[in-house]
Amino acid sequence: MIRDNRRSPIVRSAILAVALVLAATKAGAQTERPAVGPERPFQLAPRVERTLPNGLRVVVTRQTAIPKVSITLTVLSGYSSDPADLTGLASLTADLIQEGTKTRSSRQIRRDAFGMGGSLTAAASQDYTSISTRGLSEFATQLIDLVAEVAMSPTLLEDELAILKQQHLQAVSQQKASPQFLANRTFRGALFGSHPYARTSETEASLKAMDRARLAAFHRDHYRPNNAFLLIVGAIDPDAMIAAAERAFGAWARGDVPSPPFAAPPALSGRKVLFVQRPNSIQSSIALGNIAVKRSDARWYELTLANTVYGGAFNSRIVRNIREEKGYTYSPSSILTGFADAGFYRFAADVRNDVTGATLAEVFKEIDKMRAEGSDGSELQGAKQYLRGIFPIQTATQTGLAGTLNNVYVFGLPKDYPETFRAKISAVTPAQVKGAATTLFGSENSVIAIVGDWAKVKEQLGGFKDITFLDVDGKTIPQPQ
Amino acid sequence: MRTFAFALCLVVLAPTGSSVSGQAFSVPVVYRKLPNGLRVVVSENHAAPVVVVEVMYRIGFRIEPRNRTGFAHLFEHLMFQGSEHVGKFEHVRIVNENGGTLNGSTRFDHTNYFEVMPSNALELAMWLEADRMRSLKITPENLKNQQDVVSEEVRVNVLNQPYGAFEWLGLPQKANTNWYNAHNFYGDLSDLQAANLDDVKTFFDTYYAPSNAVLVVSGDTTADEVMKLAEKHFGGIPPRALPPRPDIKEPPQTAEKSFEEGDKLARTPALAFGYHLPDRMTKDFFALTLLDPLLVSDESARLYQALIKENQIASDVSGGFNYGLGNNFDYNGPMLYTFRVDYRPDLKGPDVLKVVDKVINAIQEHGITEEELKQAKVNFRSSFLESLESGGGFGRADLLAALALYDDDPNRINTILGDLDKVTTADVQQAAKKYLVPANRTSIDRRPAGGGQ
Repeated sequence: MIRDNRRSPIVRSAILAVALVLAATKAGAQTERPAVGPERPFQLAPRVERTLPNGLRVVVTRQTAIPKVSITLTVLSGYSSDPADLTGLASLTADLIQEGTKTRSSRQIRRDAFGMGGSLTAAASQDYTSISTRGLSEFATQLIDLVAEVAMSPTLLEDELAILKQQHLQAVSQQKASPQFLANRTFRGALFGSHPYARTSETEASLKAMDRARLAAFHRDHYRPNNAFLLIVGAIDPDAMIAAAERAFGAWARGDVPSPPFAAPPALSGRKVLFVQRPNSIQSSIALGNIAVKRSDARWYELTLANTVYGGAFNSRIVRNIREEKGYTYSPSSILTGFADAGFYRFAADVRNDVTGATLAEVFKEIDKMRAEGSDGSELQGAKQYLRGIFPIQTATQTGLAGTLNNVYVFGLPKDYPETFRAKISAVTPAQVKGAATTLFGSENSVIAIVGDWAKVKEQLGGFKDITFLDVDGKTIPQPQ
Repeated sequence: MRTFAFALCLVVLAPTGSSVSGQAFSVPVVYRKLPNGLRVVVSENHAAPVVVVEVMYRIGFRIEPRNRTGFAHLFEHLMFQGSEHVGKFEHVRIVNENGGTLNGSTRFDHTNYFEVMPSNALELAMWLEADRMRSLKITPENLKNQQDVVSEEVRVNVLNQPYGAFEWLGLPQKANTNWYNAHNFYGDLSDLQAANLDDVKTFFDTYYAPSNAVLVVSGDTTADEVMKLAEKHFGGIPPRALPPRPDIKEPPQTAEKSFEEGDKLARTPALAFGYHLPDRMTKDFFALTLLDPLLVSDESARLYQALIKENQIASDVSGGFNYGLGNNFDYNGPMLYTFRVDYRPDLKGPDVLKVVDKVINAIQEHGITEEELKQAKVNFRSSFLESLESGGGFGRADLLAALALYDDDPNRINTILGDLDKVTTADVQQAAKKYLVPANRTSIDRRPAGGGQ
């Protein structure tokens, strides 16, 4: 194949194994690597927090880099609150509330946001639903009113629901063509079993089962001020924003909100492979990993450091190995994800068919090395400096700061999380990182989802005993030929 | 962040416009040229102890060698493989270990490289960029390694994906006739594999000269500090003569072009179509820039409403200038205004175009309202401000770089909104009549062909 041609010894010997220096000249070259100066102070503006009588928490912070504002109402119910046979209910509800209120039509809502320099979005995720808008800060008060109207008094029109269902059905069909989507859905499903975090997307059946009454009930039960917080970040006056929020949300009535039906994820034993047969695949799309910890776990800092060393940064062991040394893949990465009730670790990459087995071997080799040795010295110091350095970069913008603060309130992190994150990263010891690696990486007990063409890779996967075959709909199938 | 890539990591500048208050906001710009021709732009911003260092070279995939499709992008990867004082991948290690992020990307007319760093590491980032501009150092092993990596990138982003990037990679190949605008710029795998060290040396010597580049530093620093450091690290890099630029002009299209493609991986159909745009920074260009959000780039827009809400024949609609690869300002040559519509499986591409033409004909006949234009101006202004903040401030540096490279005027960043403010409803109607016509259009109807079912 192509790859073999490139490995041709003729090609290799034709090029002398010496570096080609493309030097224009060395004149004036600064050979000394410059030292880095002392760290400059980094301080976020104070946050103003107020809880309205109906229980809505309002959090405001001023950030004036540009004359804009981010306004996000977060309702603390998401996919996890979907009934098991109605996956996508939270998501479809979030879509439908934007399609009309008592005083504005769907298009008028869009047009009003547009004319204030923004757009309105509402989207559900695992633990929460966010209704957010971003626009010019001179329109901040009107934008708050718009968010309040959509959240509190949507009309939930049948006609608009029909359009949305059609859009969603087509999206569900399209998703099945995406190997990365299939890998993640399969991985998450096997990892979390009957826990709600197993469900990452709606299905044709769940969409067809939804009607206006179910959406209206979801809205009535979950969209309540005592189950929400409002976060405002931008070039605004905090006191004026609090007053505007009181006016806009003051009449919103409290309610008893049901808790999500969390169940224990299944215990993992062994390396469980789920192979999704996708004929014509020229790569294997891999997602593998295990259950880790929830976002508010005190070990988050050491786990994050272990992941940064392993595959959470561009300069990480797995990128050096399977990309920069072996050229197996363009985009290897690992991520530690924490939700409200649980979390997981996941490595993902797309590799050409003929290195599928070799990639898995290297991934587990590096995992086992992390578990056995951890990380210390300059490598660990570098990972700490990376996390310390990117924190101010991430929070330097209004949207970045809003994202960080959103995590604080969704997951109940300490209020001083943004102020203490960097010091806590610095304080992690090598022993803690090594301990974290055993928590973070399941290794012998892992879920391995592979989306690819079985005939092209089967000989490389002989080392795995527990393999389940699935089609793109997620149904179990016999071993393909 | 590890997308050494095209499009997917970029700043999309939506439409906008000014005309409302808050207008006082302006971007500080200091602009000089070093004796070797290197342009240097500094934009102070002390909101956070962060600095962006970017070098943009005026060489993109458009004019890469004819027998080496994808080479400009492969070369971008090689720029991380080492220079005289920096080993393979050490650039990445040094930046990450000092608290920064980095990336590079290849576009139609330029390739950019940047670091977003804590501001105390400013000189380190400038030194890294200067070392590779002066002395890129590529071994056969490292070239081979990145040929493999880039081949995997093409597989993951094109060959193993439904739709195969047809709207941003495929459409220009069909709409254009001049090879420079019409080749596969991600690269044929065989061309990528054929690249050798002579190609690398020639490309570097020809295009990676200081006079073909701009250095932009924005963030928590001062113009004095940056200019001193620029002299120190880049001043000694000798000037080199640049080759004449090839003729990249695209002859006017005179008849509509329509193509149908089978897709083995997709399960539902999609249509891409594009119109050749007027030259950048012209009156018609600004008029269409403001029409865009009213036509497609917002859920309130006419096409979105017509296709999804009124006729209910599509599930998704999107579009823009330099679609998938950049924004309205970061290119310098023939360009398409591209649209993508994911539509209902029981229909065909022409059914979609019928609705599109009805929407566009209404604008050509009746124009847009004063209120629409006013809102478009407000919205563009807001999107423009947003783009400056994107990527931790990278968006500001990248726009300044493009304006320095293509317009020799980074201060243009403060006058673009004024140009848009001058646009009238008559201008928009006129531009729509002239450019958004079938004869100026190319479409690809991408149909499922079995395998994905």
